[in-house]
Amino acid sequence: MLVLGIGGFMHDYNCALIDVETQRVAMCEAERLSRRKHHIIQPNEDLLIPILRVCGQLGVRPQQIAIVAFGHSDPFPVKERLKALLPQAHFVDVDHHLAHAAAVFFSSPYDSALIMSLDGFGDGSSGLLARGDGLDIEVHERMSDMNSIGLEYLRATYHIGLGTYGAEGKTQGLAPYGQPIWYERYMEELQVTPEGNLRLSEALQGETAALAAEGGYLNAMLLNNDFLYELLPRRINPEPLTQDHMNLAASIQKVLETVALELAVIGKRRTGEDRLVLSGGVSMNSSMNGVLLASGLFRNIFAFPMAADRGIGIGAALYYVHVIARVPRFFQLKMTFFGGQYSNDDAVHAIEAAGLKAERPDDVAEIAAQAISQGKIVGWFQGQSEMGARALGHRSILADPRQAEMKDIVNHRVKHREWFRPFAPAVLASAAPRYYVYPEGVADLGHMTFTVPTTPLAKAETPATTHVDGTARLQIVPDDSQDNAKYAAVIRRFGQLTGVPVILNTSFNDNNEPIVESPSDAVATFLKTNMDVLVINDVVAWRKD
Amino acid sequence: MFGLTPQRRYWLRKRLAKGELWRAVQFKLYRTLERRLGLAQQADWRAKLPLAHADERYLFSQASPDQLRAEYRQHMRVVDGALQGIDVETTYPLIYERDGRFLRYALLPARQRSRGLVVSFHGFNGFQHLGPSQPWEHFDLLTPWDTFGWRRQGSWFWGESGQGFVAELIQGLIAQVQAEQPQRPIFCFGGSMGGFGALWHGLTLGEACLGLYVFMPQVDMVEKVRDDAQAKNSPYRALMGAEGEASLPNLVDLARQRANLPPLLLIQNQYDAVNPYADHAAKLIRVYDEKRAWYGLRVYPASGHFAWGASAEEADYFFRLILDKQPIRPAVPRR
Repeated sequence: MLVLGIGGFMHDYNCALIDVETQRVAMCEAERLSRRKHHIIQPNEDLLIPILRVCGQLGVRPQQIAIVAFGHSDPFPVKERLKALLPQAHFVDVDHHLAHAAAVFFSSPYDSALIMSLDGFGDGSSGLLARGDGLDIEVHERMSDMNSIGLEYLRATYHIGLGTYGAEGKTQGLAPYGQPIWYERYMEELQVTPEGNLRLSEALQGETAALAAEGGYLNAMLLNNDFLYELLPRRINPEPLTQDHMNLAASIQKVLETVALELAVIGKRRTGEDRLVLSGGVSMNSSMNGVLLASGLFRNIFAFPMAADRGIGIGAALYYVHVIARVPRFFQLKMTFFGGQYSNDDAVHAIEAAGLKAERPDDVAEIAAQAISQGKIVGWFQGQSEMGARALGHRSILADPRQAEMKDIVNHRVKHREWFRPFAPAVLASAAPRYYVYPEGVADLGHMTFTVPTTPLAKAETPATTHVDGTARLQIVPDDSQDNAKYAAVIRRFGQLTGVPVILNTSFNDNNEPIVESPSDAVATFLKTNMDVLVINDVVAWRKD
Repeated sequence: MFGLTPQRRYWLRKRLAKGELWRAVQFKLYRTLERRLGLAQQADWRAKLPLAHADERYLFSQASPDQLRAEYRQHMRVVDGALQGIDVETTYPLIYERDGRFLRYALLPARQRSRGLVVSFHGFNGFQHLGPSQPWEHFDLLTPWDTFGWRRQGSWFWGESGQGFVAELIQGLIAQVQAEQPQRPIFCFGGSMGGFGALWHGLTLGEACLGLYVFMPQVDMVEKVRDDAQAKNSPYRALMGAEGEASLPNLVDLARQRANLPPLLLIQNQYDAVNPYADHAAKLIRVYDEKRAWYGLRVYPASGHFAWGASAEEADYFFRLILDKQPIRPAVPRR
């Protein structure tokens, strides 16, 4: 039986295909193919493109799909278009937050866990506390979209002038530069109920009723509230970022962390679970996840790498397979490399088509490590692309973390983004405890989903990947990684060359564009971002000058 | 002939000579063919009524706001493609700076050979405002983003606290864009707050502006401030300076001061609670009447602050008509 999960009808259109018999899984995010960040479905768009991609990965035809599970229960018009395209399939609506919950719980290694899903909004909710047990998800508390902590965070982001949906990570990055001077005022307007629900005052809610109208996130009224205007005027980019803006970022970040912690405490009490799984777009906030990790409340924590709506397709499919069809669990997300794979010939063709010289050295990891150690910036492209917003060594830009100025160089010269945005370190597992502070064996730190404190050694040796508050959004790479062997080899060799087995890793894209998918995408981004070296599989190209 | 009376024969000859009969036969044939081939849609006469476009489920509803909202959510959601861009800033990528103030804007070249520059003024920012997503067919499109005023939702493209600095910024921006092609004709386009912006700047530009296409505009800002007198927050009040109503921009006076008014096409709903016709558009139309200037007025028998029938395509056509018919002369003076 082939089950297609599909969602992202407001943004981040994506799908996942599960072959229940062979237990194989394929996923695709439309933005990688369309090259439109947060791919919003357009009229007359070919909705089959990502579906054909996942079918191709499993070697099946769309006509063989038996079940299509939508990750939204609201009546989006796109559903009718999909029904017409796949007439043989049986269609099932899965509540948006149950899809988020299913995505994380059925991907986790745990038989039972507290599920905390926090989001902006979807199908009338903004989050839930639930208990996952075997093949079941039992909802304990559901938060309405009028009382959305995700939307509140977005409002602050919008008010600071950092953007709208998808820009929340900038607020997280800015927060450590400020002081949470408005935290208490925020908390006066917000209540976590004893049952584990949220209540926002009218001053915070603003025009949330506009959610029901067309436009959703993009309705500017939705992104305004009285509370923020009482604090400070709204900033429009490129007006200067002031200390007030940083303080607002710090305040909303602290509010989020407090709310998440309180909800987790209540959820643990209500479900009796000492394992926590995190999903929903808010769980992309690695600082919040880091606070939950550091709290010691839970024996284990798993944060879903595609926690935002990018993971709603796999969530809907897993919900159908396990909760509705009662198929025993078989899936566990250990890596996110589900995207497209391209050959060395594809790489050579793309490089030469751009007028560059393609080389085939014996050891690309050696070339990359040498270049990084010499202060060069490397575009690194290997195997299948990652799903989700984080590049984890298959579509990455790599640089030397030892040079403090490297953060500014990569931000300004390569990624063309704001000066305050930090970069993440990738470290070999054997060296990680020397550089970072985290509880051993509690969480999988391989997906950049947690921000943790750094040790004095990290602050001294890797200033480009240590944020201003002394934390880092960590990726631990197993020394003997099978999925990411060449990436591990680069870090290892860089460690041998410099004594620091840590590299700066950021996603292979320019500002406001999706992560590169194909070799031609990689070459195009390489040419416009002032990188020095491009490595695609076993092929290397150098910048012309 | 065919046993017809002389009068009937005379009538037929005359119609045949004019080709009317042939056209009638053609029409009949066409309709018959259309019906036989199943092409004809049963025209629903109600579809032509603006009121028929209102969602009757929500008319005169007695439900509580929460019930309404829950019900509404079941029926209305994001329409495919309604979300053209994820971030309004990305649709205004360019920045004009003057005196430490920033004005974001977009400049989209025409799809075909450009016949002029249209300055498009958006509505109040609070309502799904995402910036321009499509270039126009025959005109380059300049769209400033008004991020001033109350909660930075818009200052009517004029200013704040009695200071018309936004208008100066926009005039500076237009001058900068025009500097590349000084002979390019300018037109102004906009609705509601953007309607005021289009009128204000179109009239301020003088002879350089050849035409205006506006829908449901605010015209009398004093009237708006008075309307909002009891409101806790009024975006109109934010325009007013210490001198009170005298400090507000006066569009009617501006129009009166102009020797020649540019051709205007104004579209308005009959029952627009935000900008009632009598309080706003009518006051400008009166000036056009006084000066015997050219205008077109289309009033829809519909309610609501919504631009029935107004479109960029129609404006594109209207502006081309103006160019093709240049020079547009004032109407014959009243005797």
